[in-house]
Amino acid sequence: MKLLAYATLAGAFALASVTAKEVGKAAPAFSVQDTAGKAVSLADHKGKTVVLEWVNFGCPFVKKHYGSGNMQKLQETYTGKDVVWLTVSSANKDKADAFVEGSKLAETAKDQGSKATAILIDGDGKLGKSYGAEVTPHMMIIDKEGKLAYRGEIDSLHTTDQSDVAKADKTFANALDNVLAGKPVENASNKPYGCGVKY
Amino acid sequence: MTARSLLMFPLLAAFSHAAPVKSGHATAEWITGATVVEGGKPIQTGIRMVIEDGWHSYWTNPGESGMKLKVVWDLPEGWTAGEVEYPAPKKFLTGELPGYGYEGEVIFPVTLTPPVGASGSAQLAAKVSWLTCNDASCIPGKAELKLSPAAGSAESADAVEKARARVPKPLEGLKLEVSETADAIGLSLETPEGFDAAGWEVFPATEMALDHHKAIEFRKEGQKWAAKSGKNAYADGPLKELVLVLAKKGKTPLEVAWKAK
Repeated sequence: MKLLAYATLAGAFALASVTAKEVGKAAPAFSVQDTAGKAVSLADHKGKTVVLEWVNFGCPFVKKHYGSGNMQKLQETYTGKDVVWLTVSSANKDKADAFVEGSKLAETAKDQGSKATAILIDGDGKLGKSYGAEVTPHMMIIDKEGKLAYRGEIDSLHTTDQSDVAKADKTFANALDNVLAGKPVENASNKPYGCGVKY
Repeated sequence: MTARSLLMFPLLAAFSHAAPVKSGHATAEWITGATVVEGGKPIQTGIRMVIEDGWHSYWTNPGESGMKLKVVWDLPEGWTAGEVEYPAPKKFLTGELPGYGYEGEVIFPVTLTPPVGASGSAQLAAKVSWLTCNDASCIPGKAELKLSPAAGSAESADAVEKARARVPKPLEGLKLEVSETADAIGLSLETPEGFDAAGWEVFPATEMALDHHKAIEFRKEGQKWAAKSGKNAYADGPLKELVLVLAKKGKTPLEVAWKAK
């Protein structure tokens, strides 16, 4: 019934292919090139906890988390716990003002001190749309069984202010801790904040 | 004002209207029409933002992205500020994401109340931060605004009053009922005699309640007006309350609220 409802609402629900209700279901498969030109697929990491982090280094909300060192610290902490951390750029490859090509994105990420496992260039937006990535940053967690366990905000203070990072509830990090501990995730689906993904 | 003239007229500088502050793609200033400070007597002020062409900033419900205005007061002992008031917004798309907010000039009215014995030479400050976006990017802005509460002008008084007239208000006889099914929210308006709800643009003031993509349009149904809306993807369970703003060119914007029993 719900699938039919979404199929008949053109355009507006294009981003709702994975809706809030689909946390708990199998995470959509994907195969996307990383900044080194290597194909990365979800299947490659079967049996591991995977994080998807949508990025746009020009976005002030992303700058808040990289500028404060928060995102890099999260990447380092959790890749250290055997989490596969995939940073994703879903900016339309045909939009000159939005798209950043692979080597440049890799360079920026390196300059920022990114500790991500890989950075994916989703130039046709298929990965982003299949997960309903709306803004940057948008955080998603896929558990070891391949189920989508979290989809939402990085933290609770929806501002561009770096000083809010320390004060905020660490929604995403708490969710990841629970996933790694095999505990149920509180607030597994919530509204993220950030700049719109430039599909 | 040149540095030299500031030196020559220090008193004048203290009482002059603080210059607007530019940050990112907007300029902000704090204005008032007040020329006298009397303990306990409210003063009408406004935070005025002028947003560069092609950019927009956001309402209290920013929509699917964006960020609402943040104001942190720095007031002398005993002074209080009321809630920042928001004129009726307009709807726009930032890329594919619907949002609500402002373009061009907007003034956010704020009522200040001085304590008994307050001085007209009191200096008030407010740290304001905002976000402006266009389809390509978002740029934040911030400013520390200063106000000399007795240094008002008639022009500013007029501007603040006009802005206040754009802040939504309840209307006698306008009532909202909300019902919910698995996939939709039903809206029902009871209106005063002769009120044509179809001519008004409808904005949800409550965040994460209604789907923002499709416009809400009321149609006459018997004695009432009915509309249907999709649910917001991030609604946390059944709706417990909903505030709608109705706007129509040339009319005072309206606000109507519903709370679940």
